[in-house]
Amino acid sequence: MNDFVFRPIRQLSHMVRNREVSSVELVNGFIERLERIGSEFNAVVKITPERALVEAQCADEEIARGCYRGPLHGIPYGVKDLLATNSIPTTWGATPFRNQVFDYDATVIRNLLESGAVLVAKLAMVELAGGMGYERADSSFTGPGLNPWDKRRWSGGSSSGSGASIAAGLVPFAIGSETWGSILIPASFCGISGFRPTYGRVSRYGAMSLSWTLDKLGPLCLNADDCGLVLDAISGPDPKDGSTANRFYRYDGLRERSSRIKLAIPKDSIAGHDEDTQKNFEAALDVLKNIADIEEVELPDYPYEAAVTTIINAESASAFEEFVDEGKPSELADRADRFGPYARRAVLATEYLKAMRLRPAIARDIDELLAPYEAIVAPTSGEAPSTDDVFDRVGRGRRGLSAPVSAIGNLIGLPAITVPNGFTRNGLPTGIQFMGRAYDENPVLFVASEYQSLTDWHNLHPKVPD
Amino acid sequence: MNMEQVDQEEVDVRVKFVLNKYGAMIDPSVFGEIRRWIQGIVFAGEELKAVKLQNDMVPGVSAVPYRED
Repeated sequence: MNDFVFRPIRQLSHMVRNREVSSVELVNGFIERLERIGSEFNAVVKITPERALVEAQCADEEIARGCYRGPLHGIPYGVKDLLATNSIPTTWGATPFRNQVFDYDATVIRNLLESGAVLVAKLAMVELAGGMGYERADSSFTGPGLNPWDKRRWSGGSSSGSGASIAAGLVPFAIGSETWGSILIPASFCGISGFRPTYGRVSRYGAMSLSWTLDKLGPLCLNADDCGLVLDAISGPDPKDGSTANRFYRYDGLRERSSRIKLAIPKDSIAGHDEDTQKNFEAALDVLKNIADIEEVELPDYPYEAAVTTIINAESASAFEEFVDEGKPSELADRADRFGPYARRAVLATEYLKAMRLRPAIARDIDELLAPYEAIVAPTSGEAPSTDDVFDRVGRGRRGLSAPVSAIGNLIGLPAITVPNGFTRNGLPTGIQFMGRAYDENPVLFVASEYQSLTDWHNLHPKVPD
Repeated sequence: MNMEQVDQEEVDVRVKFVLNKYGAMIDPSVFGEIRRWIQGIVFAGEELKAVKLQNDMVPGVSAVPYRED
């Protein structure tokens, strides 16, 4: 089994295609690992062996017949448990929904099935994707997501299980969701690569809706190249999700760099961040200077955070109106989640609409600013997982979330990737993010892959049981 | 502007609205925290209000007409 763990998708798919290993062997190996050590990180809600073995056998038969669907064919994966799966419970990480069962698969899962990937697990998450305002790491009925680099620390949220599962080698790739930071933060905390596509690139049909003008789905993987391979499979228009863009996406793979890259860095981008985060970010910039020209830019002055906060408050209040009116928040795990949803009813329609009216203006200004560059670069989080008692108060990178790049990217739906860029003195990973223009996923993935070709952080893995 | 400079009368009105509607469902020990949350909501609203927009600047997400033929 050790031969499979921590191998990127590209390597695994080569082995599967050449029939050095079967999909059934891979699936059995990862399921055994999920069963044996998944609970050590509170990373798994449900393993899906029956469905997985049927899909894996089908993949093996197709490959044996010479019908090869592509790089995900026969590759096991896990999904954040907010994606509907036919006849398998979909809990949204929350006690009141523990017995919820849908009779259909989310579009993302259908797309992955079409690509030949094999679903092996529903992965843990912060309850209701953190949308109620949680303040503790153990805000899920599965308990706090534990970081494979140090189980005394949080794995980040809200895609806690997706992040920990990749870092611990429980699955080769996972799907997470991001409304504001929920892919990039756990990926950064767990020392892996996490990608947030352009808003509308990936259908949310069958995904729990928290804030429908902000919610995005994306992959968490071992490296940027894997993120591109997965995005290629899950993206595309979907009549069942009216927000999907009528633009087709194709990952352009590992191509040669033909000229120097141009990157932008926001003025004061590391102000207020912790010392290790600053140090690692500056070291990453030094590496990038070998291949890129980096220019400082000044971000337009808008109330980005106020806009994102207001939109999440208003849309989540609507999405969970019945839940709140029935008093169900009292059944949630986190203390703040039990009263936060009520406070959100105090947002005025004019405030929500003002935030919505601001978005096109911000989108135009930021696009003009980004146009000369492949990407804007910034620390992913302002801090590594807290060194304080993580179970009293989450160290969820609030300073990173407060940084304008995260708020901007989510507010106007820009693609971004985080990749690991070093460790703190306590041995915890830090991340660097690259964010590009709308629909410019390939340049963002390219820059991140180039950075990873010059560094080895993504090849380092925590000491977890074999 | 900082959080302390938020219009407290506005906060009072919204707190009263929330507690009138949901007070019976909420543990009274967190009423103070609800007030702080609502203060944050009003603060964000004030920040948004400070940005002047022209009349024709409208939300990017509009209603999508639907017709089943």
